[in-house]
Parts: sequence; structure tokens; C-alpha cells
Amino acid sequence: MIFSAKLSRYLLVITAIIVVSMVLPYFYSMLFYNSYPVPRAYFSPVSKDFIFTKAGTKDLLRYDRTGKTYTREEFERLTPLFNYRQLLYREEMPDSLNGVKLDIQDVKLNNVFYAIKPYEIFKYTIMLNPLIESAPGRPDLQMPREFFRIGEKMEFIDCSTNEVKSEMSNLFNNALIESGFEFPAIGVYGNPSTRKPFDEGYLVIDSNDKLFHIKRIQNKPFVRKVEIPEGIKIDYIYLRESNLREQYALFITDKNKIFIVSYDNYKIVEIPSDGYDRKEMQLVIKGNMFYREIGFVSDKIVKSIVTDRNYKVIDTYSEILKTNEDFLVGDVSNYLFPFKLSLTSSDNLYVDFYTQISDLRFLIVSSILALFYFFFSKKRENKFQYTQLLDAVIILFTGIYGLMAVVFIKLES
Amino acid sequence: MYKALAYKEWLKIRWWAVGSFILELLLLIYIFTNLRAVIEYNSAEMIWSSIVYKSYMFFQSLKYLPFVIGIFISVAQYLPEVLDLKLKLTMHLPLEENRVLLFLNLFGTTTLFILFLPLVIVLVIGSSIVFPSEITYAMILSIIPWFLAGFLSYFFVSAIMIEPAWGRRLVIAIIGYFLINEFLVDVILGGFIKILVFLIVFTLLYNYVHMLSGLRFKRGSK
Amino acid sequence: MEYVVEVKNLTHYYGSKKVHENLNFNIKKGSIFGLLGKNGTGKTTTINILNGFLKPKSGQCLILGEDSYKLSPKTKAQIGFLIEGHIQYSFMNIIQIEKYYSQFYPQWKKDVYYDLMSKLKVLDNQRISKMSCGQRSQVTLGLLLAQDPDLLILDDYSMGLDAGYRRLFLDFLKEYGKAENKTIFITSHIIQDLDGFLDDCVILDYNGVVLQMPIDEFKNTFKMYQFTTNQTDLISKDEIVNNFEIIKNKATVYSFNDVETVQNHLKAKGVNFTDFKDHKMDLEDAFIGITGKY
Repeated sequence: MIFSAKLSRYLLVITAIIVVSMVLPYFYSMLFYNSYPVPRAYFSPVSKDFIFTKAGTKDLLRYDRTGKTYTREEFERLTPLFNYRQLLYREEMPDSLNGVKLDIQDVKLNNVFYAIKPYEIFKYTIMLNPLIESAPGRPDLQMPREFFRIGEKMEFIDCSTNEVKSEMSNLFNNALIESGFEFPAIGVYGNPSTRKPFDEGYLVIDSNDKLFHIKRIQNKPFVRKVEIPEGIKIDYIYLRESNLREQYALFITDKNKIFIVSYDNYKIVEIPSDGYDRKEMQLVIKGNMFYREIGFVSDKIVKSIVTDRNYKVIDTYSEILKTNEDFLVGDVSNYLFPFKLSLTSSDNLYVDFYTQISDLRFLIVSSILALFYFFFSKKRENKFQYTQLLDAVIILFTGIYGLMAVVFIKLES
Repeated sequence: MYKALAYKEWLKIRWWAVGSFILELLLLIYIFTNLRAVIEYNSAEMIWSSIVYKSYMFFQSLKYLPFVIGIFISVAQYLPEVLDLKLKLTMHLPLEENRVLLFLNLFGTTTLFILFLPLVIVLVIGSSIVFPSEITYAMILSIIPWFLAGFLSYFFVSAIMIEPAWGRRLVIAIIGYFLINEFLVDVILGGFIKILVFLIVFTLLYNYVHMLSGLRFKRGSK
Repeated sequence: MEYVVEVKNLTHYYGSKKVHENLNFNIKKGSIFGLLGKNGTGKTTTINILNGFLKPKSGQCLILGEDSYKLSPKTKAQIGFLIEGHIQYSFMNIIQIEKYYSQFYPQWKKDVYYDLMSKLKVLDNQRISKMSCGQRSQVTLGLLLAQDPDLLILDDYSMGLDAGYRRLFLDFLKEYGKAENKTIFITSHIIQDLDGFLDDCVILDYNGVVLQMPIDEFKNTFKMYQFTTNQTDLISKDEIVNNFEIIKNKATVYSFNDVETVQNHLKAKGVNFTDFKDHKMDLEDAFIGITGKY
């Protein structure tokens, strides 16, 4: 009986350690951690320099690299292409900038702004998508009645009947086979919304990591193979239709490289990605008539690379942000908590064991705790038992978590 | 002899098991009639979109049911044993005490399995009729943690009931609360896929958690 | 000498309170042994240790040669156990409970059980929870007799029972004990019924063991003397005077010694007495005498 009881005890001890390592750091951060706001970087076409906004204690702070602050109006004047609505309202909108006449429709058309967060890349996806009719002969796009999958073959499934529409499926399937598609698809990326100016279908990655463009034109398949550089493994594709018709999509590789698929015959253009880590940083793409701003943002770093419209680098800004780890609270937490566990993460939509392991400083505290425990329990019991030793070892590696677990779950009270 | 033990256990839980079964039935009826209404009100493709892009879970209302049933069965089995320390009667039987405790647990988990399996089967069949396999598969991935939580609630409540000391009961309850909470956390469809196998193995190990309480009961621990 | 139960140097604490210290006694096969004492003197604690539901601080308890904390299933089959208050599964009725228990004991005597049940006026499907304390005691008795164990351990058979059921219970037990040399270990705080039933006893009080001897010997050697005196303050507990009571000028002295020894002892202490009487005591009187009324 003692064996099962011991197994049962260690099970509870391990669970207690897991639970405490999730709960304690959480409460600690609730009580002691401050939130450090992340600045946003913009590149002003007026001053040709960076300008930033950051949440202050009461208001939004606006400042530049030298630290000079700006009012809201001043800020808007420095970013006229982005804030044209405000400037027009105040009749402060310039007629031209950098020698180029500013036509408002043009300004609007050239404005770009989107972000890709890590959790959009790292999540479980159901590979079922609607292939919208891209030439409907009507001004509005309509949601189709079927969803498609590309498994061992391409199939369209009628949503109301849950049955495969064989004719349509065969049509598209053959088109894929003809273009050299290797089944099954490992990624299907598009914009499954009807609220867009037109439809560009999906960019699909086959089993050989090759890229294909699939569209539905008057219910007939449109399939084009998109030549991508050798050895590229695409992790995520962002496809959004824009009247600008400059790029079909942007894709990110498993080596954190960023490429765009341009409308110029599917030409692949690499854009600067130095310092980007797709697992931890948000990719923010801003653009206007003159520039492209490629931003990487996390709670640890803000980086912005400004390029011209051909992605030639003009300027870069990089700032390492202060986090709680840089202050006393962070230090204390490193001593106190050997590791922090969480089953969820803000960067990832999978449930997994997200651990943050402290540097070896925790051993100082945990070895003291382990020694104390060992001698205290030996004194109390008046004899030496192997369980005491094992418990002390547990405390050595798990610090305060182990101590709590071992003390609260004794074999015998 | 274990047949007799099973007979006694059955006498204790039979109405609770039947009640749980009826509860499951009612829930299934609710889930599927609601699904039908939702599909009729919107369109089928809208629902598929909601499922694929917004993680709409038409089976969401099922979430806490296994957890609750686990508690019911454990209380039905162990409350009569724990009141007036009647567990002593069971421990006094001419059987190995270890085996007796494990058997009681096995009886409970088998009951849970028999209760849960038809629920899963009906859900899978129902879903397969209305949705393609990818969605049914994602549903299975999503509900497994909920059923594991059902077994865990059974294990924890059993351990709490058998445990003689109130202080330790509280400790077990706190651990159980936080642990089971993780199994019931809100995630997107299929979110658990990476650690599902680990969670299943972990839950299996938990069949033993009441054994410590059993030992402490025998020792008369305070 | 075949000992069914051997208790060796048993020491146990209830929290910080010492329940027993170096308790030693043996129970011979076929004897009826009583663990007597007022409420709260540690009887149930001792029973719990005997049944393996409590681990003693130190000492050993052997039942049929095995450590009571680690009894084998075979030995457990030979032990009948009654929990204080006649606790049984309340959700079963008398048919279900017999059906249940009979499968654990190969020598189960079904008829004995139903014989007893027929005398009870209960319905077949009446749950135990719906029975009176007395009826329940008959059910537990029936189950014990049907099990036919060599050793019966009864923790306070009398709890909650009125006189009739108490007497009934003992009558059956006596029969049973005599029948096949069965050993019975019984605890109780109600002494009067046990007179003529017990062979041997251990008496506990709040400080531990106060007496350990066969009943007959106890009844024959423990005496109650009453007399009138004015020197009441000179009377105290000593090696002759086991216990005493004073009401006005009437003194009652309990002692294991004979009349002459006691009288001499009193005279030596300077106590003048008149009306010296030697009273006969039954078991209850003797018990009260040795443990005191408080």
C-alpha cells in the first residue's frame, strides 16, 4: 500500500509544483509588475526623421529622437499622408510634398497599414476555405455556397448538404494536377471576406513547398505556379486585395525572411527583415506614397526600417525597451522563481508548456531552502529517511514551489 | 468477491448514473436543435465560416458537463463510505486493501467511461452528418480535455472524500481547482493538439491519487 | 497457550494527551474480554489500533499472530468487527446487505441471519437508514453471527440501545461464544449488563490502565467497606485504600485487602470507626469503586 501511496504523493507534489509555478508568478506580476508602454514609430516625410507616440500616464506622448515633444496637431502636421483627414478638416493639408503634388485620392490609394501578430502564424487551422467568385459580373462579391479543401485531391463541399460537388471538384483538381501541384496542400492563405474591392483567391503551398495561385473565374479554375527562390520554406502568407495592385501578398519564411509577391508577373521581392523574429514580434507594415516602414514590435524591442518604394533602405531605428526584468522586481523574481509556467501564451494560440526559466540565480535561494528543509525535517522526525533527501532535492531544483508542495503534502501530517 | 463490491457500488451510484445519462441526453438534444436553428437562421456557409475563422463551437455547452458528472459519481460512491467512517467496513473485508481502493476507483472510472462514450459517439456522428471531417476532428480535439477534466474531477473528489484531515482536503481541493481549470481554459478549436497525448497520460496516472488519502485514512492521520 | 490477541507495550497519544503507556494484555482463545472505562478514556482508540485503523506511537498489537496494522485477507475473514453505533451501509436493505456480505465469507451461515431477521419486525425492502437503533443492532448482530468468525471485536455494542436490545445482543453473544470456543473482545461504558458475561477485563481511566485481571478475581478480591467516623480528613488513597468516598461522616472505602488489614490500617492512621460493614459488590459497583463516580 505504501508504494501506491508514495506514487500518489509524488503525483500530487508534481502537480502542486506545476500549479504553483503557474499561479505564484502570476500573482507576483499582478502585484509588483508595472506595465511599460510600447512606443510606436512613424517616419515623417516632412522632417525625414522618425517620430514616436507612446502612452503616457495621462495622455499620449508624441516625441522625436531628440526627445522633443509635440502636440497632437504638430504630430499630425508631421505625418500628413497618414493623417490627411485631420489636416483636411483643419485646412492644413499641404498641396505638395517633396516636390510631388498631393492628390487626396492618390494619397488614400497609396496608404498601407497592416500587422501580423505571432499568434496569427502559430495556431491550429482548419484547412477549409471558401473560393469566392472573382468575376461575378456584379459590383459586389458573394460568399460561395461551398468550401474547398486540398487533401489528396481538391474537393468542393456544399455547405448545406455536406456533400462533395464532384463536377466542380474534378475541374479544379485537374487544373492543379496539370500545373504540377503536389498534394496535399500544407497551407492555404487568402482573404475569405466579401468586404474587399475584388478577389484574388488563394496562395497555396503544396507538399513540395512550392507556391500556387488559385482563383475562381466564372466558376472555372485559374491556377498559376508562382516561382519562389530555392530552399524557401514559407511559414505564413498574408494576402489582402488592395486597389493599389502592387502586391498580391507578403510571406514570411521559417528563417524569418520576408518577401512580397508583386503584381509584376508574380515577381518575388525580398524586403529587409534584419532582427525580425516571427515567433515573438509583431510585423507592422506601414506605407505611403513615398515610403515603406517595416516595423518589428515586441515588449522588448521596437525596430523600424524605412525604405523607398523599391525597398531600398533609407533609415533605421531600433530601441531596446525597458521591461520589468531590468528592475528590482525582475531581479527578485529571478531569485525567487526557478521557472515560470503558463499553458497559454499571448504569442501563440496553441496550448503548450510555455516556460520561462530563470538564470541560475535561483539556485542560491533554492539551495538554502533545501538545506533548511532537510535539517529541519531530520530534527523533527528524529531519524533519516530517503524521502527527506528526495524532497530536499526536489526543493533544490524547484525552489519555493517545491518547498510549498513538499510541506503541504506530507505523507503523514 | 469483487463482484459483490461492484454490486454495492452500483447500488450507490445507479440513480446518479441514470440521472447523468438523462442530463447528457437533454444536452445533446439542446446542442443539435440549437445548431439546426442557427444554421437555418444564418446560412450554412456562414456557420462554416464562423467555425473555421472564429472558432465557433456549436458544442460549447458541453464543456462543464463531464466535470459535473465526475463530481456526481464520486460523491455518490464515496459519501456513504465517508459518513460515519463507513470506509472502515470496506477496509475490513477479507481483501487486499490496496486492491479494494483501486477497484473502487476502477468502478467509478468505468462508469464514467460508459457514460461519456455514447456522448462522444453521438456528437461525432451528428457532426459528421452536418460538417466535413476537418471540423469534426477539430471538435474531437476540443472536447477531449473536457472529458479528461471529468475524470480528474472524479479523482480529486474521491481523494478529498477519503482523506481524513480537513486541512489536507483543502490543499487537494486547491490543487485540483487550478489543475482542472487549465483543462477547461478557453482556446480556439483544436488548440490543445500539441499536448493532448501528454494530458491523457497525465490523467491516467491520476487514477492513483486517492491512494495517499487511503493510506492516511488507515493511519488515522490528522 | 494460544493467544488470539497480544498487545505489547502499546503507547499512543491523542494529540498531546497520553491515551496509553506500555499497555500490555493478552486474550486467550475462547475467552470473553472486556475493555472497560468511562467515555473518553481511550477505548475506541484501542479498538482502532486493533483493527488497523490507527498506527500507534509505539508498541505492537498482534491478532492471530499478525501485526494488526497489516492483517492478511485470510486473517481478516476470521475477525468480526462491530463499529461503535452499529454502523452499516444505510442505503441497503436487509436482503441486499446479506447478499453483499455473504460473498466475502466462505463459511457464511445464511440461516442464522434470516432467523434473527424474522424476529425483527422489518419489511424486506426496508433500508437500514429507516430502521431504529435497536433494529439496526440486530442487523449488525445477524451479519456478525452469520460470518461466524473466530474473533469478534465489538466497539461499544451498547451505544444507542435501550435495555431490551442490549440484553438481546448479549444473550446471542453468550450463546455464540460458548458454542465453538469463539473469542470475544468487547468495549463498553455500561457495566451492569456485562456482569456474568465477561471472563477477563482491562479497566481504563483518564490516566491509563487502572486494572487488569480476570473478572472473578476482581469481584472476589475487590471489597467495599463502609463505616462511620469523625476523622474523615485522615482518609486518603494509599497502598491499602484504593478509592474512597465521604458523605458527611459516612465513609466508603474500596480495597483489595481483607477486613482485618483495612481496619488495622485505619487504626494506624488514627481513624476511629464505628458500624464497620463489608458490602458485596456486583461488577458495576466494583467498576465505579475503582474508577470513581466522577
